[in-house]
Amino acid sequence: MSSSVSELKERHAAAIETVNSLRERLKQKRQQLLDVDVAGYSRSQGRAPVSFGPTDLVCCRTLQGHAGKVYSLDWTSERNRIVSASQDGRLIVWNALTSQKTHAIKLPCAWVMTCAFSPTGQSVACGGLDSVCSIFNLNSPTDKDGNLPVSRMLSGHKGYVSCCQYVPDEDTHLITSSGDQTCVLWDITTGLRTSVFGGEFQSGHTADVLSVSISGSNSRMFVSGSCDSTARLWDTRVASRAVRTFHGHEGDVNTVKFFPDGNRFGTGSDDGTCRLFDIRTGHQLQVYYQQHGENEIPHVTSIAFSISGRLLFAGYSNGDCYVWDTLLAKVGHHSGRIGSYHLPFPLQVVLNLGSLQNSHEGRITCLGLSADGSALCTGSWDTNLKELITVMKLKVCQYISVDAQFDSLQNNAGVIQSKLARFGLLEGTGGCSESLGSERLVNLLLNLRFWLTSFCCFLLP
Amino acid sequence: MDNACRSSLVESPMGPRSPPAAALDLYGKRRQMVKVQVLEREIGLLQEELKSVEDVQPASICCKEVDDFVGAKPDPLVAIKQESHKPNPFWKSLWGKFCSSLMWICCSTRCLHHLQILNCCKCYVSCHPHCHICICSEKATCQEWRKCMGLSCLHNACCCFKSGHNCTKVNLCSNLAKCCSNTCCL
Repeated sequence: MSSSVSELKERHAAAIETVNSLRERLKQKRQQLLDVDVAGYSRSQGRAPVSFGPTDLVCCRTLQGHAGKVYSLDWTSERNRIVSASQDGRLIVWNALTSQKTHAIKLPCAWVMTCAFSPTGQSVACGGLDSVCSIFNLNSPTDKDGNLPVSRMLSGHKGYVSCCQYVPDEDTHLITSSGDQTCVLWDITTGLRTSVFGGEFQSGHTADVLSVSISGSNSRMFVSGSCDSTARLWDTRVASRAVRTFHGHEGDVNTVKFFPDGNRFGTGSDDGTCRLFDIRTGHQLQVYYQQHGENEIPHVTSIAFSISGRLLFAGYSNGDCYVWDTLLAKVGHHSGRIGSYHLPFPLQVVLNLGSLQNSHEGRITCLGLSADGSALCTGSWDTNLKELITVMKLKVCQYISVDAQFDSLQNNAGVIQSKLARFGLLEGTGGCSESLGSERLVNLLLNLRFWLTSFCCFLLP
Repeated sequence: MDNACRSSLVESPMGPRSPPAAALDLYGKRRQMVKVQVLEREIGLLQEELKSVEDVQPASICCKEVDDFVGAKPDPLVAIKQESHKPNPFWKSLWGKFCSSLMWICCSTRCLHHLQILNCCKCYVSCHPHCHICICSEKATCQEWRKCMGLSCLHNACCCFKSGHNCTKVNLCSNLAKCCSNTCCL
């Protein structure tokens, strides 16, 4: 019997060698097909770079309320609400326009790692070190202690739940990733596992799975990222094996996110790079990497694409949040200006949000764009969520912040407060203007104020 | 082996018993077999992929698809820049010139934020009349004003750096009076 075991060991060693050899051959074949990357192609087409000044993305508000590290956030698909999860043991649901907290949910287990809003916005899901994915219905009555009860507990993982996402357009199914090396598709109505992807005896990830992302255009397809340095594409109808495995990263793949067209996805890794992969061909289309002078390369902790895919937001373990031009990332060519500083920025990092005022103090753990693509929210270990509002909202906020600065030079806090209240940026008083009409009104008021005081200026000696 | 099982039964009939050595060995063999099967399955999948990759299109076609998709889809974040690069209406240009001519009056008094901003533009060659971003604090004692590109002064900052110095790090200036002589402050 012992010789059978030793035979098996020999077979095992030979199999490993064959696998490595095949992988090497595959890598070389793929290399031959990589005739150009995205940046090379776009540049050859004369694609104009995105010049993104840091003042185009201004931190509009800081959502304060968590007492512990913020690990995860998610936007609703409408109505601009955000759910955040923190290791203070709470989920908080925020109104992104007013900064009001609509729900503060005390969790059965404080060690939460992920949260997600359901497509209808009526439920939130979370999971963490308790290995369970808990579902809360936001419309449920609270219990006698004032806590929202758990409406469903999805048990079955043998390791921590690292990430969860609802299947688009379905409040009844979600997918989780876990430290037990599997992903699971759950039926929330029954609380049972519909499918298990990977695992000890199946062909799947060989280390903890850290992230999942479901395709917006084909909800049967999802990608997962793992500590085994790979990302895998899955078809929910075929749980026995991954459709494709994507190699290239040299460290844990912490985050994966589908590209808006549904045929590509981005990844972020401990090796400090973000990459863009094509799901149909398996090609690695682009690498986004910023050269660092320090010894330690900051890890990519979270990524998000803008609504067109032109911008890639990447949060790093050192608190940086880069805005990449996805089309023109290439060494030696730059477009965006990072402030007024002569920074050597060899790649198309359009902007480092971490260099802005009001940036995070600590590691950025999560970020996400609103459904309409006009606002970015980032969360970090400094316990705050920072929301950057753009487009119409930004312009209003920009004026407000400038106004407040002017007044802050005079140390007139009361004036600031009243101005903020007037423009609806204090909690409970309304939000940044969303409409073009409101923005114009604000501009008109500011200009009117300017003219009145200009006139006074003339009169003064 | 049977004796070992019997003796353990006699000595502690109710206590937990270790599995017999043969069972342990069987368990180890089973696990090893599973590992081999998983690897052999992986080999099959890799061989399949090697065959299929022969027919895969080159990356340039995928890159074109990405470029076309991004170019065609409107994006509120990218649209900001496109709008801001559009030429301003005539009245806005006129407004800017008017502001510039008033600068000397208003900057000697307590300026409104617009004109105070424009005052800042004296320091920054790259600022144009419509920059509504930079503010130079009167309290700042910047030693040397240089041309600022893009991110110029934000509200409680001074932007000053010596000629020829490449700023490698951005520091948050918490005190307006403090001015960095050879670094860029925000």
